[in-house]
Amino acid sequence: MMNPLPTRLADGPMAVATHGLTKRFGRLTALDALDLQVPEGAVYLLIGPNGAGKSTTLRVLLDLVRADAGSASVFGLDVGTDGPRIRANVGYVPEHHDWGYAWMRAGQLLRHHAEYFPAWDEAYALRLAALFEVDLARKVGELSKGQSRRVHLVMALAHRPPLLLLDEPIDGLDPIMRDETLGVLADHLSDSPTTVLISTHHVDEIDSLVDHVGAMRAGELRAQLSLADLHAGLRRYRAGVPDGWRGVPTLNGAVLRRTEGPREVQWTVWGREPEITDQLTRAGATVRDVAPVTLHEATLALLNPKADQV
Amino acid sequence: MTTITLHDTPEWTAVLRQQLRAVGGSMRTAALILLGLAVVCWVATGLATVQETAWAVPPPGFAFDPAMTFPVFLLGMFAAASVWQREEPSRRGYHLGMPMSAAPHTAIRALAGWAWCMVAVAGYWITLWTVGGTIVLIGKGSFQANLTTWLFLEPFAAATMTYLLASIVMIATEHPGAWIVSVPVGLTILFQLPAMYHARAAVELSRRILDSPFSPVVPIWAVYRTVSADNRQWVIHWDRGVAGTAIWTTIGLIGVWLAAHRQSHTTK
Repeated sequence: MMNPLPTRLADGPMAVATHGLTKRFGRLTALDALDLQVPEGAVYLLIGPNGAGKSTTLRVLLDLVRADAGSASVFGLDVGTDGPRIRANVGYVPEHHDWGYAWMRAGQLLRHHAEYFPAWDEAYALRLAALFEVDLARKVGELSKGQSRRVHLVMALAHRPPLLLLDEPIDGLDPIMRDETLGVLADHLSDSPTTVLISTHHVDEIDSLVDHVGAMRAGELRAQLSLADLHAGLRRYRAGVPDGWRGVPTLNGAVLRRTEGPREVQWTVWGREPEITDQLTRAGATVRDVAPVTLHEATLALLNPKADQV
Repeated sequence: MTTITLHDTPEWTAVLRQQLRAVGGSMRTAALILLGLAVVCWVATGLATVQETAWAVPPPGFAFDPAMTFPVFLLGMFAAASVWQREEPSRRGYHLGMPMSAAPHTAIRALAGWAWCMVAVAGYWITLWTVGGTIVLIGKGSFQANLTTWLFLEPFAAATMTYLLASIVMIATEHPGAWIVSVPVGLTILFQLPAMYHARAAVELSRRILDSPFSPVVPIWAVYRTVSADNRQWVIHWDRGVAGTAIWTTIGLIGVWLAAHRQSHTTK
């Protein structure tokens, strides 16, 4: 069955664009002909199960990993040839932290980092460090996962880069710090014109920031669309069904998720609502409720590994 | 095309300055320990010489021997290891994530490490001659050394060669410790095997290699020496030491540059 979900955005200036991006690690295909489009100014959420290729995508964009095929550009700069310029314009929070300067104190690391970024805003860095409660006197090698994440966030934001690549930026933070971090991120986006490509499993916590979504599975882009289109096209239908009901064959492929109760079925379906409702009704179901899905529900539907079988 | 104003990359001089600070900082603790050892050595030698002077005839003097520069071999190895400690290629994400091309950035860091290595060698060299001077002054003895220019450059050359060769391993391999141990052991076995099996031609070949400027021993001493005709002392051939140093330094420089370019693109 053909994937019914949109995977191309409307033309416009793109902060990030990849074409047929493919990366293999031995026999494993981490990225499979990826065509990613992140519009300038967007907050693009990249979702996918572990091992879907999200982190690899971000590292390819920084030229930390080189693709086997295809191309990638950031603000029109080719990733393969303009890596340093791209990295000068990206704030990156990696999923894993390997500092290499475990003996440095956090404050020293920030000063070290600042030398590499001519646009570094020292006052802003100190303000961020205070907001994130970073202990500047603490040695980097002694930082916990959450503290490392906060130091990385300061380093990513303080030079006000036009693009942020955030790989699980709130992973390891306690709920209060997660909330604080997202607040700081929202303030940063309102102050500085920034495009954000964010990969996280905490989708329900960042839905207020996001305006575009890309769903990856096994290195492939399953869907790529604006949040407005997602809410318009993806709906949850709840319907009563008679005993021995055989389903709606014409909906095959568009149904992303299905849950069954006693004499009631719920579908999460991609498509135009009147047409879906009409098909359900003609098949003998009594549609009781049609509701837009939350980002969290959409994620479950888009990443449902059994989507092709429901 | 984007309408966004993009930021610039840093000047390489700023990066070098920062790497000098960072690498220097990473060696600070070890440097303090070495400094302490130098002071202890100097004081101990002074005290020992005072005691020895009371009864020794002739009075104690100071004879320079290239073997005295052996510690700089260790300094070179140590400096290379310090620069890249806990940063094997697959864990070099932070270093490679900086807005500089990977190869020049790696080379700049190696250069910063070399600069500090030379400072450490200078410290060792000053200590050595100060200790010698102390012996001579207190013991009213004399210097016994063939004072050529190369004598003063030789420890720096030896440390440079060792540093460069060790840096190749540190920059390019995932398990540098295993390489640094196994290469010298492997070479030793390789050069001993012919003698063990009485293979005359191979023995002759290994002897020729060891006696040439290409000898893998050159990076340790930066001098070339032979036993005198009466078999009683070493004769140092400075000119051949210079040739060997030139060859091994060139090999080291090319190796570091190639290793820096061997950016794996497989960071975790």
